[in-house]
Amino acid sequence: MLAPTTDKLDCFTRVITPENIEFEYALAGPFQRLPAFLLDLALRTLFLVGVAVTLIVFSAFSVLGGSIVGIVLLLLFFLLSWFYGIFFETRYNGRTPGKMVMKLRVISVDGRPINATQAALRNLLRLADMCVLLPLRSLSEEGPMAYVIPTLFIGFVSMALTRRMQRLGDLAAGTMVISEAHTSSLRPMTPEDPRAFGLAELIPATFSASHSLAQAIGHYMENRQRLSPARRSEVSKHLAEPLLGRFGLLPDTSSDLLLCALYTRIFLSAEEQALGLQRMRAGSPGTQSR
Amino acid sequence: MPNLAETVQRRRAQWLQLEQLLAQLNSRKLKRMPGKNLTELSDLYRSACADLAMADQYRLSPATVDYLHSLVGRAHNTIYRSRHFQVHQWWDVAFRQAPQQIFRDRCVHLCGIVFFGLFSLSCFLALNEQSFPGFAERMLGKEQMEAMQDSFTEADFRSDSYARSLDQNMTMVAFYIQHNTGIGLQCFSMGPLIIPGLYMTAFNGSVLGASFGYMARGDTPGGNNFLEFVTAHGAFELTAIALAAAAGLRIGMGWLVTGGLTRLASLQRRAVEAVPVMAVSGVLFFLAALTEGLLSPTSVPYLFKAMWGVFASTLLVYYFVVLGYPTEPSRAT
Repeated sequence: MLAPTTDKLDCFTRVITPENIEFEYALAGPFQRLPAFLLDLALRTLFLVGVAVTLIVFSAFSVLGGSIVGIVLLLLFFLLSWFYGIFFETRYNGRTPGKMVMKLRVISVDGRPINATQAALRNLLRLADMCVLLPLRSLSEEGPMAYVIPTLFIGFVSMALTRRMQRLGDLAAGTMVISEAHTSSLRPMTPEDPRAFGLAELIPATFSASHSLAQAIGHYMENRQRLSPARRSEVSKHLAEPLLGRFGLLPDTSSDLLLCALYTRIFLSAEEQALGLQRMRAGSPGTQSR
Repeated sequence: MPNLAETVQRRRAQWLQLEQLLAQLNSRKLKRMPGKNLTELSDLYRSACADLAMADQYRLSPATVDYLHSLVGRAHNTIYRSRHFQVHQWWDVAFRQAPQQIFRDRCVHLCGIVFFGLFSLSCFLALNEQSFPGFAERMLGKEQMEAMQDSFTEADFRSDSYARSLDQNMTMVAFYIQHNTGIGLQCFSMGPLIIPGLYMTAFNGSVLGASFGYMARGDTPGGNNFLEFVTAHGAFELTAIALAAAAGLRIGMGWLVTGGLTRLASLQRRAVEAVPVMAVSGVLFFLAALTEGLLSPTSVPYLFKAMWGVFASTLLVYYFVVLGYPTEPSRAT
């Protein structure tokens, strides 16, 4: 049986696969999605400018009129702005070039890949998310009253209000954007103080950490590098003090060190533990390594 | 105490192998991969899934669990891929389902009646200066009337100088397109608020109607040029505005009339229903823009422009009425 797992606070969502496995996706927030959006915009603009320059150069040597060039560009602009996202998200499994760079992907809220209809819906509604549109006149006094400057306001508000950080288009299409960039490393951490390995030897061999204790110690180790020594002892004290008594260790043993020792016992292999012991016996204070 | 770190170390080799395979698959086409790799992928994926399910028993560190979540997520997305476009399905959506849905959409009926009704009424009132003195002036304002007169008096489609300045006028055309799309967008984006949406639709219908009526009086300077200018793209443009307003209203009805769903779920369902209306409206705006850029300001004979206008209207009637007429009895929504 699986032990009950507690959900993370936010920025994560759980899906259940056809294999009946439940796993987490890291959701992508506005600060990952905006650069992807701007990248896509830059790509489209570059492409359009490239075609424009080619056509203008070409038209100088041929009978192509300037207005024809204008019309072709207008057509291209229309196609690019409406079908760019639909095409890429359907063809490349939920990713546009901007999303590929930012390691993002659009998927259905139930974890399945998106289909063409969903891609169309979320891309067509992008316009609504770009509202409120400001007129060009807000940039300069003489500008026309053309409402073309997007503020992305609606999209941001919608993302802030929904649990899966969906914009309106996502809500309508039933999609969400997830981040595939992974930062966590596979290697277990090694305590920088080799005395932890020595202390681990003193923990009774019969002691077996419960699941929740192992989890707590794992989380402590991952976060302790950001804490000052004083804060470390303050945080670890609550867990370590009852354990010190139970293990029959001296009450003035560093509580931080005890948690490090428990970590090595729980998460490190026998070889790694032996290696740590050697390091301690060699007497080198040891530089911190991960 | 059972130390499971050794087990994890053995599994780790498989995870890294899966990771390598995923990197290969993402840079290459799936079809080009040898079958052996694909079966290997599914094996490794399944075992990674099992490892994740057993994470508590293996007593993996939280960092390792995070890693596994991300690995399984990536593998899942590589194995379950989006399906490509299916042309026949889209054809069915575009030329059977969409027109039928629009045909029986009550929001489209309402916005159509409000927009075109007020447009015609306002046009009629502005046209009859004798019976309704001062209507056009109060509707449009002196400034806008003069601006319209000026721009269309100058725009003589038959003169040589006009033909030559056509290239420079592309920017002007772009402005008109943005302006008209802007009206459509205004009606659409106000739609979800219902009353402001209907007001915006009514307002734009009245103003456009007054402009048409005023310019069509016969004695208005530039009036003929105006009529010649709007003939070709008017049908597309006005229909597109009415449809955009209807799409906005349809979304607005979602939160007002929920039909037993939560407000959000209802909104979601109505948004899906509004998509065909939005898509058709977008296509019409684009056709109008193309006509406006290509045909309306050129020196092509008026007959051709008028023919195009008739063709556009026929096309619209065919799409909305002939294709849209319900093939099976169904309730209006």
